Amino acid sequence: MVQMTVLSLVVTRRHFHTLPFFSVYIALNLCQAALLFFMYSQFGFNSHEARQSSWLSELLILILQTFAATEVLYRVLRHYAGIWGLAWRLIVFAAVIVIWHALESAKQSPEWKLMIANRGYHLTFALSLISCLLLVRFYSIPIDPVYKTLLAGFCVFSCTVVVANTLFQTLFLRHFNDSGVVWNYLEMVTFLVVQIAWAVALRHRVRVDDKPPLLPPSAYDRLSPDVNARLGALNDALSRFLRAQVLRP
Amino acid sequence: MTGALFIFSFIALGLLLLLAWALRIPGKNSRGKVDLASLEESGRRHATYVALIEQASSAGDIEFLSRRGFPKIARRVHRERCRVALLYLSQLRGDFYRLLRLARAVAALSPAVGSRQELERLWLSFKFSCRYQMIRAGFYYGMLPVLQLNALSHMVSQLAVQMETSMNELGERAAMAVRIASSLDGDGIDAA
Repeated sequence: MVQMTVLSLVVTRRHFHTLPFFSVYIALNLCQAALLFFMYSQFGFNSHEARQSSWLSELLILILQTFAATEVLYRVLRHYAGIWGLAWRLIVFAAVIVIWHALESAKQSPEWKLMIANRGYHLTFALSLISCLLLVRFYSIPIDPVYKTLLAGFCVFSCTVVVANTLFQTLFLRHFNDSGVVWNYLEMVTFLVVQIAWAVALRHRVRVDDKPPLLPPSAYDRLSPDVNARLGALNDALSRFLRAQVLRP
Repeated sequence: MTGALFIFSFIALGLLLLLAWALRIPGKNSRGKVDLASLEESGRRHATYVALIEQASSAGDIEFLSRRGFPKIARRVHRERCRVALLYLSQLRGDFYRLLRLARAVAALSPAVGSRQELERLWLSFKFSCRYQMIRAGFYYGMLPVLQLNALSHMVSQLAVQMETSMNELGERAAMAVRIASSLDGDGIDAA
C-alpha cells in the first residue's frame, strides 16, 4: 500500500522525469513483492524455489538501488563538476575496500556466502553514500529536502540490513527457532518506515536551483596550491610554537 | 558470532550518526550555499597583530611587578595575558578557517578538482585543529607559560605581511574569476 503511494507520487508529481532510475527501482520493488507473495503462497516460505526467486530478484533490486542512489547524488552534485568527480573517486575507493572485505568473509564461511555478500553490499552502499554526503557537507553544497530524505532512507535501510543479517546469523547458529521471523520483521518494519518517509517527502516538488557560475579551470590550479601553502605555513607556525613549548626545560 | 553482531551494530550505529551529522541543517555561517561572499572578504588578518601581542606579553612587565613586590598584581597580569593569548589564538584560527572557506568555495565552483590538493588541505586542517587544541589546553591548565607567546609572535610575524597581501590577492583573484564566469554564463556561454 505504502509502496503504491510512493509510486503514484513519483508519477503524479512528475519525479520520474528527473529520477528515472529511482522510479524504476520503486516499480520493481512492487513487482518483487508481488512475485514473492506468489512464490511463498505456492511453494511455501522455506522452499527452494521461493529462496531462489527471492535472491535472484534481490540481485536485480540491489543493482537498481545502486543506480537510483547514484542518480539522486548526481542530481545534488550535477552543477558541481569538480566535487562530483571527487565523489566518484571516493565511491570507488570505499567500494573496493568493503567488497574485498565481503569476499574474504564469504570465503571463510561458504554456507553463509549469500548472506555475507548481501551484508557486504549494504555496508559498501551505506559507506559510499555517507562518504559522499560528508563531502557535500564539507563543501557546503545545498541539498533539496526531497533528495535528503531519499538518500537518508537508502542509508537507514542499508544499515538495518547489515545489523539484521548479522543478527539472523547469530540467532540461527544459537538454534533460535524464530530467527527468520525476527530477521524478516526487522527489515520489513524499517522498509515500511523508509517508504512512509519517502511518500511524505515526494509530495513536494524538487526546487529548481540555479546553476552556480563555475570558475575557469585554471582558477583552481592557480589558487588551490597557493591556499594550501598559506595553510601549511600557518600550521608550521603553530607546530614550531608547540615544539618550543614541549622542549622548553 | 556475538562479537560480529556487536561489531556490525557498532558500525551501523556509527554510520547512522555520521549520516545524521552530514544531513543536519547547516548553521547560520554555512546556510547551504557555496560561500561566494568569502571570496571577496578583505580587511586585516589577525596574524598581522602579532607585534602588538608580542609587546603586550613582554617578560619585563611581570619581572618588574614581581621585583617590586606586587605578586597579586603580577598574577592578575598573568591571568589577563592568558586570556589575551587565548583570544589571539582563536582569532588566528579564524584566519585559518577563512582561508579554508575560500579554498572550499573555489573547489566547489571548479569544473575539475585535484584529490591530492583536497586531501592535503584536509590533512592540514586536521593537524591545525589538533595543534590548536593542544596549545589552548596548555594555556588553560597553565602548562604553557604565556611568555612563550613571543616565540609564536616571531614566527607568525614573518608570515603576517605575506599573509595579508596574499589573502587579499587570492580573494581578489577568486572574486574576479567568479565575475568573469558569471558574465559568461549570463551571455549564455557555459563557462565550464
